[in-house]
Amino acid sequence: MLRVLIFFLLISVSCSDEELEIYNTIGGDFVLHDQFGDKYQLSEHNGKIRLLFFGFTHCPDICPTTLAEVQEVWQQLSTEQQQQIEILFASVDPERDSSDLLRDYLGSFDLPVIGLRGSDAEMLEITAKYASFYEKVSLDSALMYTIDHSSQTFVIDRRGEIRGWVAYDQPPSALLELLNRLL
Amino acid sequence: MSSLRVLLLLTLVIACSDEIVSPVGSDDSQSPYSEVLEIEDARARTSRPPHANSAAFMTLINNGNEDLVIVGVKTPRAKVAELHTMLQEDDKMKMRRVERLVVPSKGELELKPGADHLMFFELDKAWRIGDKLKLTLLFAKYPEQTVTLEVEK
Repeated sequence: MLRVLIFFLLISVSCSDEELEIYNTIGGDFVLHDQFGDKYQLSEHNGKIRLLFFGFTHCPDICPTTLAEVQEVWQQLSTEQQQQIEILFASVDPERDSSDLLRDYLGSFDLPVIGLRGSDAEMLEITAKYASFYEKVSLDSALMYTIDHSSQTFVIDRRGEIRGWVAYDQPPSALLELLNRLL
Repeated sequence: MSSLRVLLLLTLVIACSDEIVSPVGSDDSQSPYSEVLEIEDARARTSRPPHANSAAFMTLINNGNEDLVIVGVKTPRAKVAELHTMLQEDDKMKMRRVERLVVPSKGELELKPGADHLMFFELDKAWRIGDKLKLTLLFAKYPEQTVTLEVEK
């Protein structure tokens, strides 16, 4: 009887840890440079779980909100868990986002973020691979121009494959849940 | 200490405390109509390098029988202040300037991240966490309202 009980207990535990889907039709490897000017190739960092967000430093709302939410999640992780994750902020404003600016901007968050930048052509290619989008838009505003952009945060596993994403309007707990499934 | 000195000191303390400890929320002394409009949870966001812009959020509650239309905003801490909204199309977020924001009669308008909000450009200097700043809302047919906000994360 006890054996049967343990058997069912084991089955129910394994079922709750259901595998996350692999979205292998989008995403993939890319090469960019970080805020310190060093090359960053996604595949060279396999072994880490990556969070990828496309944004820009002049972004007045979505980007600081998203980073603040990632920060909230980050603080709920143990040091050991944090060491398994890289947070990537890829700029979709190559015109304004110099490496110096990215360094200053990201340095203002209490979060170890890797800022990534490339040419407009490179960013267009990468965002297309990630089924994402960005577009420079002139504004009737002191902002002069803004960038409309996709606002989800991708969760990339240790092998470099997308295992899910969190939309802007989802709570930080959704990101934490995804991460916990991969950690 | 003479009673005159005490009075003088007391006056100074009152004058100073008004400067130092500004109440957060609606500044009732500015308007005789505070029973019509209530302002809650007013806060501004810290600016980040290059300190090009920042935003402010609050909930406006209109107890009156007519819609209140915000047509502008100003603060001594920024040269340019605008009303903005955020449009969401699928997963795309688009921020746009708008001419007006409406606080519906017997209803409320929540200014929050990812939705209607107040935007500021050409800041006087970085908006640091804990800073208190004054912000004045301009209405179409209603007295302007000055609010003191605290800068938060």
